Amino acid sequence: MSTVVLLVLVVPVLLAGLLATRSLAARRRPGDPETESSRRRGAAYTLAATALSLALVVVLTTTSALPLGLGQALAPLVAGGAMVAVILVHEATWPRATGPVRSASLRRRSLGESAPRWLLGAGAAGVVGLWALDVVGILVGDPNGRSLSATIGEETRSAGPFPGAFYAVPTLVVSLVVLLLVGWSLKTLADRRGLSGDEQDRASRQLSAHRILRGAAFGHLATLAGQAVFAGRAISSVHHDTYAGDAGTALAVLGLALGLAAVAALVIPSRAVLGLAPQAMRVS
Amino acid sequence: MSTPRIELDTGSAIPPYEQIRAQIAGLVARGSLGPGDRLPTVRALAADLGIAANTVARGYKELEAGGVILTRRRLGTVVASGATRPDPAVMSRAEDFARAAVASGLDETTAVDLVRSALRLAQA
Repeated sequence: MSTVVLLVLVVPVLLAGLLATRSLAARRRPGDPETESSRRRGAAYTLAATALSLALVVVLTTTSALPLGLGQALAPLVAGGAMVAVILVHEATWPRATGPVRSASLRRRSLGESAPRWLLGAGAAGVVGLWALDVVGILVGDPNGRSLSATIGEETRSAGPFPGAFYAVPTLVVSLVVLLLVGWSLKTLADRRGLSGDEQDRASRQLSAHRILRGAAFGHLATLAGQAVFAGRAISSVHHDTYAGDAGTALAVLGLALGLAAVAALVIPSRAVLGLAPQAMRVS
Repeated sequence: MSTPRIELDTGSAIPPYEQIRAQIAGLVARGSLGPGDRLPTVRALAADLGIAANTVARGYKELEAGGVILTRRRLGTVVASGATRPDPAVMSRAEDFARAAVASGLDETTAVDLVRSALRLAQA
């Protein structure tokens, strides 16, 4: 099972890494030094975020640092949080303005203005879905927090793994940390020094907001996908001869679709272009 | 319409907070910034100019004391609706003076000192 989870998580993260590598090639394109530097920095930090996320996924899915599959359950959210944390460092260490004469735009920057709407929506859906599933899981799961039981007639059936309190509580704690990191990162992004051209500044902020949100969206959607599959399987196993069993199967199928959505959130590049228009290249 | 910008000369004898105050007041006086326009946060403007947040905060405080801007809890710092706009003829003469000062090679500090001195004479 851990090999499957490892592959399911590693492939999309690697894909994101490949897209980031493609962006490194862009630094050879001509452009003004400030934009080039910003692009190089962004690509380097994206690679660092990918490497750290991969390392965490491997550690959590292949070692027994956390018991009973908890490491595998938390791996996508931890990986997504690591991506956000690395981009937070990127924004917090943005080079200071230098030179004897410095210029600043008087445009007011707001917290979410650079965030791509579709990624914001996907992330929000992932967060709401995950919290809803986990709260329900805590309420209906067995006291051990890992299985689901039901008494039908005189027969008591039990199935697991199920996202009860054992999996759901740590998931909600990590989710909260990731959400705090996202808020902190977006605030840091809004307050950091701008590039000299309004268009380039807007593009660089859109790219950073995309990098922040895709980590969080991937983490939440992938975790929701995994938990939906396991919850659906447990429900259909316990209630296999009732309509609830069909609902469980539907939940498991929805989980697979959510897995695809998580991969899409991670690998679809930003539409913002940083650099001179004729030579500009899309940066993931 | 492009966003107004301000410049900070770190080598100038004029303190940075005064440069910020004077330029924002000038943009409001010329109508480049209108009532209700939102200004950047202290932290963001300080980051853009590479100076301490306290310096920008002092510039904003002076502008607020002069009635040019005001700080609202939800909107942040905005241009005040009652910010005074000088007589266009005075503005035009100020611009003529600035052009003449630049043409004659006067530095900013000396030019401003000349204006202050002239103001004192006019008020006497």
